[in-house]
Amino acid sequence: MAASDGNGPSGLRSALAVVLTILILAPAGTLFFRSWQQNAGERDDAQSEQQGVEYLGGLAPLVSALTEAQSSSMQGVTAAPASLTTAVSRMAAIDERIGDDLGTRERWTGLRDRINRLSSVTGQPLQIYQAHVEVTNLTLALFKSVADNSTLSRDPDNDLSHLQQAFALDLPNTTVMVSRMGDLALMLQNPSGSAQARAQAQAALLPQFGAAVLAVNTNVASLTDNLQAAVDDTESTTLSGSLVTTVDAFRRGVEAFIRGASPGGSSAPNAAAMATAQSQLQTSLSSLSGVLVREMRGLLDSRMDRLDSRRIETIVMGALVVLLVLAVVLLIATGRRRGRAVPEREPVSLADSLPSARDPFAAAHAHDPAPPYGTQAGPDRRERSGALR
Amino acid sequence: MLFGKFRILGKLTLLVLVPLLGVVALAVPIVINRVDAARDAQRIKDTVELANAVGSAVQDLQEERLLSSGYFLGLVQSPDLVAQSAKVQDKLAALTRRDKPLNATMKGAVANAARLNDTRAAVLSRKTDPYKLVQDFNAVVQPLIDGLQLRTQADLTTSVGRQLYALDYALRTNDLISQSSSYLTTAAIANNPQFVGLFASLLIRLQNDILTAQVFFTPSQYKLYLSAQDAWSSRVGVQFLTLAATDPAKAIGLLNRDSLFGSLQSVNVLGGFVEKRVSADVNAAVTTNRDDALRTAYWVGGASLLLLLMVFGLSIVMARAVARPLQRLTSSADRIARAAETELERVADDEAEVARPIRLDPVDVAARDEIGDLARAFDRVQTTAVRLVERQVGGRRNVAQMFGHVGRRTQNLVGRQLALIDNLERRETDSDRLRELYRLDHMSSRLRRNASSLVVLSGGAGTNEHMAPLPLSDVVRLALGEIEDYTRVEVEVPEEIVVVPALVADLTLLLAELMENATAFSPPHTQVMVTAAELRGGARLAIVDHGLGLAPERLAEENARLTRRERLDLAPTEVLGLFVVGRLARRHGIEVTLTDTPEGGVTAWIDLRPAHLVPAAETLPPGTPIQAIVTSPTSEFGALLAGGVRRSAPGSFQPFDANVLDRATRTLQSAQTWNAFASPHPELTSSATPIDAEIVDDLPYGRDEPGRPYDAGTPVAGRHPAAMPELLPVPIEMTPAPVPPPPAAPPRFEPHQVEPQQFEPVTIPRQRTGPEQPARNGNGNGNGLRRRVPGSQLPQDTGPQTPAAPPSTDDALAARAAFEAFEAGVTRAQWDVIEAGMTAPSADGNPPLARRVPGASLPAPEPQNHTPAASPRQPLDPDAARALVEQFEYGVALALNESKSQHEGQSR
Repeated sequence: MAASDGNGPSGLRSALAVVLTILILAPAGTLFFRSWQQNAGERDDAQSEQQGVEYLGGLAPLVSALTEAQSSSMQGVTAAPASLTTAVSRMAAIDERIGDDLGTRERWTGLRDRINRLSSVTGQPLQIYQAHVEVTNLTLALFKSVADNSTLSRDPDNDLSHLQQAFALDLPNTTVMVSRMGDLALMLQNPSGSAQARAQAQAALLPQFGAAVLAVNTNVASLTDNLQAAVDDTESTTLSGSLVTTVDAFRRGVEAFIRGASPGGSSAPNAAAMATAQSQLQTSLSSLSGVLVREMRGLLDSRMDRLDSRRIETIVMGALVVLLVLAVVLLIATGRRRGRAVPEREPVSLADSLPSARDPFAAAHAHDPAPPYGTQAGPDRRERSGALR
Repeated sequence: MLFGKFRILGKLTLLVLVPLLGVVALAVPIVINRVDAARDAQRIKDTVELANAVGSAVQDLQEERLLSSGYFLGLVQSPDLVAQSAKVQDKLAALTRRDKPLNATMKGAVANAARLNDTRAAVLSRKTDPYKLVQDFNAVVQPLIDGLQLRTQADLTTSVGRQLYALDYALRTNDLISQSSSYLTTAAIANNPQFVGLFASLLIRLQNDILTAQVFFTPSQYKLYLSAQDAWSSRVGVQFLTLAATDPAKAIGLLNRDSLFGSLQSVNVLGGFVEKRVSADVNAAVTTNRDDALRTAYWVGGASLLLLLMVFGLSIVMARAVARPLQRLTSSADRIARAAETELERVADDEAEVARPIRLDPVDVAARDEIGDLARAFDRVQTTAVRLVERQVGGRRNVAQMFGHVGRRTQNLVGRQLALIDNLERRETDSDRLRELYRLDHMSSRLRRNASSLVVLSGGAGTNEHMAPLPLSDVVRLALGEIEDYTRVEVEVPEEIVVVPALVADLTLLLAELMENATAFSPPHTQVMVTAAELRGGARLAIVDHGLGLAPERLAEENARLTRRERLDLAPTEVLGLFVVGRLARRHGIEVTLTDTPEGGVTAWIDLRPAHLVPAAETLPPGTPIQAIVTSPTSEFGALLAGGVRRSAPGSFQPFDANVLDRATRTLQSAQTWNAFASPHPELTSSATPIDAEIVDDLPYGRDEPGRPYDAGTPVAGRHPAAMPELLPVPIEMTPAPVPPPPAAPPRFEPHQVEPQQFEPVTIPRQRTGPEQPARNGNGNGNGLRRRVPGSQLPQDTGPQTPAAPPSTDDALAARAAFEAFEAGVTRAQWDVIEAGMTAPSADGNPPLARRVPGASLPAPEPQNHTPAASPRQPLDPDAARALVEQFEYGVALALNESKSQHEGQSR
């Protein structure tokens, strides 16, 4: 940096430096904060998505347990199955942790109340069924609201978007619908009460059964499509591989259940087959949901990593900008200071360095009027000095 | 040397260039290789991605095929089929919209898919059969899979290549499964065993493929692959599969017609998952490979680039680090060399007495390396050189000082010697011894000149004893007294030219040297002419000899030597005289030029500036005529000279000065007498008297006044000697006596014209003096001349003279005047004696003659003269008186001398 040699230019220079600093810092700061905000927003989204995935991961066994409870209560078993209580307690713990963040606390509290009251519901299978349908519908609604609240449903990535759709909508819907289909088939097969009541019940249940069968097919197709779409464009290398067996198992379970329910009406619904299919379906469901949760979590984790690294990048870049600007300002400041104090080296003449004792004429020219060589004042002083700069 | 023409930067560049080229040569192939690898990886990645897309499309096609079969069999409603068809068309269209353009085969395959529209229309209108339907779809699906060219691209030696192969297998087996699903559906629903046969044949191919594909899949992939097959076979049922080949009809019975289609539909998806898994693996591996390759390429390339830049930058920095100080050293040395040259020249050639010390700047290179050492060494060399020069200068100065000291000492000694000789001369009566004494006197004068020359050579200023102006002619005579062959010099110098006292001593020396040269370098029989003329307020002297002369070059050289400053140790020793002349001329600004004399020989021109002369106006004070009296009596120039000097001596307060001139005059006279020794004696005596008579006329005229105003003016009351008019008259007096010369002076520009004019007047007095000289010889010389002058009229003179002394109140002047008067009285008394002797020569002989000039009249009468002449006339013995006077005189002179010599440091 060139040394400034006057007050005026240096003032102008410092003003220029300040202006430049502002001109650099303002857009850089804007960019930094934009990037920071976006990163923070994405991180928030990803975090809430992670919470949503965790929540959904807790809900999936609940759905499965609810269907089991529904089936068993339809069979006349009033006591809630162990899986339900386990799932509920797990779910309660999860909601305790992140329910507030996801805004599901009230929904969950209401749902849990209803679940708790399910065991107290007695009477006609239809009433029990209705009570269960009520609860499972609420659970499905909870799924949806969790997906919405955690912004999972608005995920920008293809794979995650499809996976969450499969996981938050298709999978529980399929599970619930398959279960209802089975129960409806059983109810249709063994109507209770008077003949008129039976006829009424059949008339009421038959469309429901058809709707359930259709819903199962639709949901399974949707599930498959979503999974396929997710696999078509994903960063995960394990997704497709893990899906092969689990999807196969799930679909086989669904097929087995459908086969047991026999919607075509060619044969009577097979309760035993359905019970087997139920357990098979639950197993495959848990494994499939496990796979999906794992994949989604992995994807979200990698996204978090990416966001973290981007945040660090942003910080580093911002710091670099600030440092550079600081360095420039410092350089200007020090450059100005250095410019003010240019050191002047005093020239040394040979005559001065010679010892006068050895000079035989020292006395003779002591009166020499000529000034010492180096000390001659004048504009040509620097030229005459031997010092090189 | 090959590398000689390179500068340091070039050399360093050359030095680092070779290894750098090596680095580049090594790095470039590596980078190219890696980039190629990365490009390959990217190509595979693209291919795999395309395979993924194609796989999806194919999967949809297969699904459409299955749906079409189902539609044909009434299992599927047309909306589903149409939706699927649209989906397929969409997917196929998406293939053409990809970022990377498709290759020709692939494009053909995609275009080929348009043929399916006919099939679709046929299916919807149920105008086709299931087999044809499957074949139509096959005709579209197969080209799509083939178009990927996975098998041809796959490098089976690599894991990625094998997985590509596996991917191809997965695509094909999936298609086989889908095909067989269609056949199976048709077989089951339509209960057509033929389709079971088709199914069975496909099944065999499928199983075959599954077995052969194992080597290409990774174990995990193969497991998935198998599980996908397993899913399919589990839908169909293991029993069916075993029966299908053997008993198709029976096998059909095993199939669950209700759920078979749905199961087969769901199986189709699984194959897609396997493909995706394989392609994901390949993609990951290929991406890793590509990234690795790129990273390697970047690292190697970047590192070599960095190395290049670093080496390049370092070499530049190093070169600068080496070259910069060297350049600075060179420029510094260069500058210092120039400065040193001028400085040393100044110190070495300067004639200035006070030599300023040599000042040179140190070389300023602060480096600590070899270059710094070089710079310091250079500095030491320079310092040493300076010291050497200083020592030389000091040595030279010491030698010069030595010269000077020796010269001065010699001067003083010779001065004392001269005083002694003078003393002896005064007391000597034996004419032979007196003559010898004169010769000794002359030699001492020359010796003194030599000493003066030595002093000049040493660079010192000679002592100037003259404090009053002196006519140039006197100066010339003084100079004549200091050379050997003065007899050969003819002087013709106008008396009006008066030289300022500061110049007198040096001019005398200068003239002496020139005249010495002139006489020394010309044949003995030739004459040397010294003439002078005023010139533009100054004066020009010419010393003309008729010797051999000098060659033109030599002349030019000597002239140059006269004007140019030259160091003694460089001047040739044979021209030391000229060196002295040059130095004196330069010191006083006198212009000395040597030219050829037309008739052969050398003429030396000496131009005196107006500043060197006392202005002419001052030379004409009223008192001038008075002094003429003293000198005029003789009209012989030696006597004139003596008289002039006599008078000037008191004014300058320098009896020494008078002595010198006196001595010069004496020596001249003695020489002349000596030369003309053989000339007839009697004539002289007779002629002396008439001349004396002439002089006598003037005597009263001058005798009254000259002493008074002169003495009155002398007191050195702060008056500058040059301003003293009293001294100047001398030349004027000169003019009347030797008649001709004065007018001749002005026109003397051209030497040739001048000479003849001057010759005449000069020669005339000479001839006239010729007869006189013997007379003088007879009387004795120097003092004798003066003494002789008043001889006849002494009585009259003594009257006014004696009273003149007491009136002056000034001690010194009074004393001097008294002394002079006394001396004059004594001499007059002596002369009276002589006169008496002369009148009666036969009787007493000539006492004064006997004393002074023994050569002429010595023979007989000397012893007789002694006693009778002195005793009767004067009650005081003249000899005793004279001895006393001379003793006193000598004492005064000695005292003056001593006081002077102390200044000169003679005691040292």
